[in-house]
Amino acid sequence: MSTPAFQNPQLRQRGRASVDFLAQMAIASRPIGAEVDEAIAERVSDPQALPEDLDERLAHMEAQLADVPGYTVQKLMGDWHGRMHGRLSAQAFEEIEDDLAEAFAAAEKGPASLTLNPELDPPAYWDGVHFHRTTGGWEGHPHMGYIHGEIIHKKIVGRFFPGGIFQQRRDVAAMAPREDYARILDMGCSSGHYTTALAETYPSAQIYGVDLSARMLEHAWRTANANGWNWILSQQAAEATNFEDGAFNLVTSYIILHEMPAEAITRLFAEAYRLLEPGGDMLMSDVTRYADLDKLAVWKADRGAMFGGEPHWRESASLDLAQIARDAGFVDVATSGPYPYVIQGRKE
Amino acid sequence: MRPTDPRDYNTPDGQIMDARHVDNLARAVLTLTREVAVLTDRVMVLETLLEEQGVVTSEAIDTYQPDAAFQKRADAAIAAVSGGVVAALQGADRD
Repeated sequence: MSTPAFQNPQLRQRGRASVDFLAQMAIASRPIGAEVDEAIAERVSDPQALPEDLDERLAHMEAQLADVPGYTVQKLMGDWHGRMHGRLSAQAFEEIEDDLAEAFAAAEKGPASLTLNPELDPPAYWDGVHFHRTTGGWEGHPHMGYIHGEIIHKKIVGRFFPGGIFQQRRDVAAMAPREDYARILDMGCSSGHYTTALAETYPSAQIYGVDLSARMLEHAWRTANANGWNWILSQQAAEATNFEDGAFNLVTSYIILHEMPAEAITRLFAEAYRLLEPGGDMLMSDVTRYADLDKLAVWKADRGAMFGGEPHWRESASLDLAQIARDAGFVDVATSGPYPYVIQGRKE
Repeated sequence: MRPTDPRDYNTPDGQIMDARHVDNLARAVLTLTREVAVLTDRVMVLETLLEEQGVVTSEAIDTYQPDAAFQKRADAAIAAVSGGVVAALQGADRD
């Protein structure tokens, strides 16, 4: 048997059919979503009259839809997906783990560097949180980076983006105003998907990545090695790094802010400002702002966050990120959206 | 209330599932649906390999990689399995 490629692995039948089923379940829920939308249209005649308070709005909508069978099933399917996608993806990985041993060993040699911090004191907003309801959280499996980066993203999430789930990352990466960045920092690089887009968009730049998760960083490191990229990766909080002032020309992040509370986000923008040299660019992206959505759309997003392993979404999506960027010192602050919501600015 | 008629002990009444357990039962239905989907896929792989090769091994089934045509058929089969269960959960199969 030939050595499988490191990325986008060929799953064995049980794992392959299981992750296919997860994708098909989401597809099967679409008609139910349409049914629920019809019920909402009938029962919520004036969405603007919905309660202002988001907890009250959630309770109000639960009461409105309590006897709609599709809503119950929608909740059930969402819950099952949330509980099972991590478990089934881990099982699919374990079926091919031995097949991948050689590719893993090869990917641990190469030009990239990884510095883990066993003494890291993880922030309370992150420690023990199972983001996206991933079983055990980002550190919940010895190869969670691979499971999340290669199986959940590419075999399940990717099924819903026929053009590829990484085009959006490339589009954001390309929004930075210059092409000649020498040093780029990816704040919250996770398993390296956006970092890959940065490497492809700015091939001559030295790319750095920081993240709190050792397991995610390990996969980013192997990915960089497998592709011959010399990324410099380290385990640290994006809002409090050990880099020197003015170390970068571009500081950027991809849809990480909603995983952080307001206080950490404010510190992240201040840190980005500190890390940029004068004239350097800031490029951040995140989920749609609640202020840009109507009350029903906010309810949907907020409910999805509450039951989708997103403890900080509401607080984060309610922030005026442009103002936070200005308060941090950035000038020429501009935003675009609605999704991804992109904030750009420059350090004078 | 403790039964007084000894024959009531033959098939004692008693609620087994509270609301929380009903939710777990529904989750178990979806978990079983996944097993049916996996087995449906496996039978389709088996049929495909038998047509192509006449003799198959477990390893050949495990490592089979679908082409676009197989994936389309498998998606349709899994959609049928899922759709039936989802319809039943909604009570949509009532006459």
